[in-house]
Amino acid sequence: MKFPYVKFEVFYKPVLPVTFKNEGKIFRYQALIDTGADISIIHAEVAEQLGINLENNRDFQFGGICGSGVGYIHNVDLEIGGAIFKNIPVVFTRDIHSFGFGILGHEGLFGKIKLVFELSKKQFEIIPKEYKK
Amino acid sequence: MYNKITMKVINQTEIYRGHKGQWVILDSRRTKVLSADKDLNRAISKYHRKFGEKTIPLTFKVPAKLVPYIGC
Repeated sequence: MKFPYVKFEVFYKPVLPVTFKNEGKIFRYQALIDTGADISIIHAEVAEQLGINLENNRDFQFGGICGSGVGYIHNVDLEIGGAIFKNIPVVFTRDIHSFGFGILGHEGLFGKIKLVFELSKKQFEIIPKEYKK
Repeated sequence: MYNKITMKVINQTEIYRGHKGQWVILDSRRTKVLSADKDLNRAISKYHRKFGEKTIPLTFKVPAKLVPYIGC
């Protein structure tokens, strides 16, 4: 699955549409692929759309170069470009900075895909491991 | 399984400039805003009023300011 980079002013970012699925509820969201992230971190409002009661889920603290935050972890299914990835842990949080993006990170997902970034071509590719050309 | 998305760069600069800090609903090419609001529920409601409830909207929380992203 090849995706184009998305341009914001002078920045080119590996941003793509992803579909979250949870117990019959479906939500589509544009997220940033973040190869430095240990886990996917998404805006808390998305949990409400997916029928997830955050307070019933495990607290999860995360941190980065600018600080830290707290969210709630819940496993959902992800669909990316037609490929479905089951039971992926996602942290839903109100602590994403207003300058930030919702991100897709390693845990549960990156072990199931190969990622190829070609900024020179302004494209990136997500290859599910079970996928055969 | 390869999708048919064109590999031309998607330019969301104008979307950023017009909707800083808002939730937006994007069209299928991801170059136009179909509805927007500071509140996600309201953005979705506006979308459904305009386009019906058959399609699932593609949402995006536009950053309030663009700065080099360093994972925080």
